[in-house]
Amino acid sequence: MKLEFNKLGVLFNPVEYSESPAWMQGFAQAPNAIEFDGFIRVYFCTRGQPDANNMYISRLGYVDLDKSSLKVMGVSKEPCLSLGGLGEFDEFGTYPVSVLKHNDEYFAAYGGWTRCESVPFNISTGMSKSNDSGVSFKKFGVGPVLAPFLDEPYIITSPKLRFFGDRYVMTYTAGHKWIKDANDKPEIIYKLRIAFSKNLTDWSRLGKGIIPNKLGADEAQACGDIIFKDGRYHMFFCYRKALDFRDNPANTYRIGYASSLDLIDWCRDDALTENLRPSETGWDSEMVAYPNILSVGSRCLMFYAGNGNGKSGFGAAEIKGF
Amino acid sequence: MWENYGVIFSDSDLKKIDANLDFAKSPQFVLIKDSPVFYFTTQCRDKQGKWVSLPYWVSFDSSFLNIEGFSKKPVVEKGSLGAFDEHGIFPFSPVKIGEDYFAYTTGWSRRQSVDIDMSIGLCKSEDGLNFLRVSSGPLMTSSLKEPFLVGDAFVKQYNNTFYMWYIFGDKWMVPAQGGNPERRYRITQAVSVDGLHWSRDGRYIITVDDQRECQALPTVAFYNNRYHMAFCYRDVFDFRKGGEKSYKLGYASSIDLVNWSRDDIFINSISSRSTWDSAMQCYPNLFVYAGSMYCAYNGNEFGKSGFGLAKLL
Repeated sequence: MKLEFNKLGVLFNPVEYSESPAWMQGFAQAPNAIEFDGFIRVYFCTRGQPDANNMYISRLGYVDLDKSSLKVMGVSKEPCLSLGGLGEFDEFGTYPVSVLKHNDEYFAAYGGWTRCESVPFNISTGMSKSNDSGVSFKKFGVGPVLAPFLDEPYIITSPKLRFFGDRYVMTYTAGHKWIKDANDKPEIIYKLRIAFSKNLTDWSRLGKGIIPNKLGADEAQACGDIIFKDGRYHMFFCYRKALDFRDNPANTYRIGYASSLDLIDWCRDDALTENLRPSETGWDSEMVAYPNILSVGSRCLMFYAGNGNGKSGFGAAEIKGF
Repeated sequence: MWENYGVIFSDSDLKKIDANLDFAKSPQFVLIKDSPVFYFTTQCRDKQGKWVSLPYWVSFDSSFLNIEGFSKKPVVEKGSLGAFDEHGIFPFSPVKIGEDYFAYTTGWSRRQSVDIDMSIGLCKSEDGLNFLRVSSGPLMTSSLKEPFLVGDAFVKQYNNTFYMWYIFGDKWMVPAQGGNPERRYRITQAVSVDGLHWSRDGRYIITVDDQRECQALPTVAFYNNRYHMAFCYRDVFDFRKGGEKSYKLGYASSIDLVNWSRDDIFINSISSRSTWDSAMQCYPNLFVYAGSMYCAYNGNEFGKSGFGLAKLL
């Protein structure tokens, strides 16, 4: 079976928006849509100007879209999530971020970035809660809720937070190994994993990868977004090759699919998303990445990032008959 | 009263293992086939000229006066690219668990805005001398209430429960006159049923008079119906050259392993205040051997001249 996608084009690019604040000058990465009364709020990760060493710090913002036309109504004035203090795990950025609305409460799980010496960064996952209906988020504490562990030695990031049954469910990416490219630059290989929690603070990890590789052992997997529909769990995620993946269309992110009856055993079947290819030209001609599903009325929308993994903004496609 | 043996493992002893090694830090006692063995970490410089620490061991006869053997190479090598212990291990704390030996390591990983971060790792051994990492990831690292610098683990099994004393950092502080940030860390404890899964509460357990006090290397022994803890403490700043702000030994005791009562006077008299430990005393290790309680520790310059030993009389 193959799903049919009706691409709706790019929806927001801060570079082309006249009222973007100084901290929202480029990139709209890892879109995460929540339905509000009268509009759709799409959270995304964005950047201001780089520092003297050409290093960026990623911040969380949002854009509100008209529910039917998906036209931009406005953007967040301030970053929604603060950075960590000196030496803390999230001192150098919060990316990606997953916002969950559950029982009228808003929570955000996020990858917190620190900078290292031998490899460029390390990432652990933090948790936060909003006290103002999703405008800003306050961290649970100074440290992460999910960090490297015995069999998950490297980065812990790309959280996707959901609530099913009586527990919170989070897919995330666990660093598998650092490898060096032809220029001796370290790149991280990561795999999708899953964890469960009753309180968002204490997480029980399944402790193994959940999605089999399609591109060989060095495939990188991220952004496992799960919805429950017709008696089973459906996961959309993205995957890429290990190296030269930033702008070489042969190696960049594609969107894959897997389904499960119990959230533990997953059956990968990328045929379903085969029709969501990069376009011939335009904002998503080099890659399609970081999928996020939102059902609005009778429509099932997939928000996703395009070229440069959000450098050209984010867009959406409608999944027909899903 | 303490009887001080002076230095029992010296820099010249260290050079017999490898002339390129410097420092013999954080001695950690373990009894292996009735022989006293001390694990310690020693260091050499990497290609960038930065120190990398790794663990070795040395064994003694029952008098602690004669060296009987030593490891000819590091007990474990440094971690792989990007791992929590990529830039060395210090300290390395072995403990016998049933018929096996566990070693809780502190792995070092260099950072950009601050010098380093630390996390606790785990190695295992069947004979107490050859250790293997359980995994390339850390056993304990930053958590919600413990933001960074999780290290210096010391584990004992009492009343069918595992207890870990360790430190975590809560603040990187920049000197008033500017310069590199310095870390503040203190002692906490965790409990476990298996030595692998730990229950932590992010609470410091040893009282301080001065908010600039840092505490490190907690070590606990049960002796004369009381739990004795030694540790070392110093100021956040200006602690490297010896004197008032440098490491001194601290002490606390407990009868229930919950409440700790600090009383540094108990351990103040340990130092022989001779050439090797006149300006600094640090990295203590308490243990009970042949019915007596001992404390091994380092002196001036964080263990430059080796490590020494004292016995409680």
